[in-house]
Amino acid sequence: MKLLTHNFLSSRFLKNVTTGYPLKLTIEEKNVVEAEIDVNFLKNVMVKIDYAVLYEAAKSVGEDENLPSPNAIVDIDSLNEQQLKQLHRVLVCLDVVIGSLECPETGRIFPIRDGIPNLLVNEDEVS
Amino acid sequence: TPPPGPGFRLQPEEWREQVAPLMKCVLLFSQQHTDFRLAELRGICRAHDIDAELLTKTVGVERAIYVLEAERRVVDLLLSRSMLLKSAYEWIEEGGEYEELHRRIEQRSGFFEPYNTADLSFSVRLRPVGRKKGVNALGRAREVGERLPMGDAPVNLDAPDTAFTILEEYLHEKAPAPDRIYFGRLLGHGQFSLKNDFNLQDRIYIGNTTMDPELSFIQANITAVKAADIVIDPFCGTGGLLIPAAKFGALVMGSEINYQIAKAVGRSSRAGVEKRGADESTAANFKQYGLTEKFLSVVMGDASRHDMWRAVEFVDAVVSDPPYGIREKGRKIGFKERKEHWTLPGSEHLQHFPEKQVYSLASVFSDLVDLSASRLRVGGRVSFWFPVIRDEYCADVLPCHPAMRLVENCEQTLTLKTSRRLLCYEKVRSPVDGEHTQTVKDQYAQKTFHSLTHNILEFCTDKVLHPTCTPHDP
Repeated sequence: MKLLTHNFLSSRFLKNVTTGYPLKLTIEEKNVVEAEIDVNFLKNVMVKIDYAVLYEAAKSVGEDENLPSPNAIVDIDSLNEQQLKQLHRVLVCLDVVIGSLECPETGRIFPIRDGIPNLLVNEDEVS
Repeated sequence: TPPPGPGFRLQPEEWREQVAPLMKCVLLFSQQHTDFRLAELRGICRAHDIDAELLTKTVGVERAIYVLEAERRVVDLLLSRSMLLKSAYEWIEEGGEYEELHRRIEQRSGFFEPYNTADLSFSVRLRPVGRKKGVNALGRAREVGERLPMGDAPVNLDAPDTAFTILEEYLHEKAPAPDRIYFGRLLGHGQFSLKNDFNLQDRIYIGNTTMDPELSFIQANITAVKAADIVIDPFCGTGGLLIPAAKFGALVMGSEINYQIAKAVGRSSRAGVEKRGADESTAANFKQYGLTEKFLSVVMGDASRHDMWRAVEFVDAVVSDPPYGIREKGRKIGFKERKEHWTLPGSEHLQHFPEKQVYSLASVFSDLVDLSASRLRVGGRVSFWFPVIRDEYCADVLPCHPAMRLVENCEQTLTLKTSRRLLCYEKVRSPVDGEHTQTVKDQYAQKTFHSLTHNILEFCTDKVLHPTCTPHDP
């Protein structure tokens, strides 16, 4: 599971959960797949995600060093090489193998095994 | 631009660009899946913000060859994406018979000037269309080749810089002579070969209902998928529909409710193979094709729970082939009606697996359109395969949503009575509260699609509906 997946998942389907976003990410095992940097691609992806959520996810797994701050709008063209590399790493290369996602409201844990997050819940947990 | 000075020579491509920004082209199409042809062209144009009107005004489905004026960049784009556009040529001449064609080519000597140099090789090939046997390919190609003013250019039949091509168009298999002959310069080939590169025999992990690769690429084109798009498949299975999207540069994600399929464990879908191997997984498929960086994840989840996806319009395209209940059952999480013998008295289970209930076909589709209406960006597309009982098919059976416009509807016939249609909707605006997908007529209310695909049941159903009918009736 890429960190980007975390950017798009929520636990709002649980009973009594109103937002369920962002989920809290914990990583036990990760994998890095090297890939070539495509700046144009990064630019296009950045406009589709919640960068603050990506930043927090990266931070929670110790990958925030050199990442551009989420406090201002991130302009890809003005990033230095290290920042660009790290952004590419968390967006494209980093893969979560084992870990968990946690509902921010109920604390319900969704395990991640073999890189697959399990959002299946029991019938009495959904509304 | 100033006129070129002495000794200055444009490369053939530049020369063409400057002389003719609109190029007269010959487009050669596959005769397979003709109902998808225009939809695919429109989808590719939509993905790249190109006006498809000029193209679709000329191209139809009756013939394999169409001649039209197009921008070179548009032709190149179509070639880079299309499964059904086989090849494109720059039009040089055409005629009803060879004598006429020869005469016309001789009058066009100026055309060949930029290609007639010692550093550019050429060839003349013949391609019969609509007929395989009984074509004098070598002889006809030589006759045309001898008439070309190409004295300075060397011949290279294997890898020519310039590939002149004769297209013989036969409208009937048995016709003694071609109905029309076109002569052109090869611009390039379409993506027909992806069908083989992604064939299911060699794919690491497949399921019972994995989509044929050709149709899966066509679907990605119709859905106007492009690089850096976010694409989801709520019923992703082994990822068969997401692979083409990733190949076109999109970031892909899917959900799958079946634990065994998501985890690639249990019985294999391959004939003669008992268990799925340890190397099998959806991720392994993406790795096999060098698309790992585009694969975000499979999520084990219930597609009917839309709120597993963040509640904003972040998706660029949805591609799907929901379970029809023929080879895969539709399932969602929910309470089942209990049967007495299911629960052993006093037993405590260590692990509870979520209960699943039947997910009715009509609600699978309306849910899918609802999900798309809420999560797609405005302008984004959703496409999915929709099984149809042919006799009962009419516009009323199609799901409709006030924020979604049906843009494509292509039929693939399955049996005499059934077919499936690839429906594609485009989001025209954000939905307002309380707007949902509606279907005027539920074609599955009385019969199930499953029953129709089984002859014996089909007969029973018919008998109920038409009591006078017996098995021996014509």
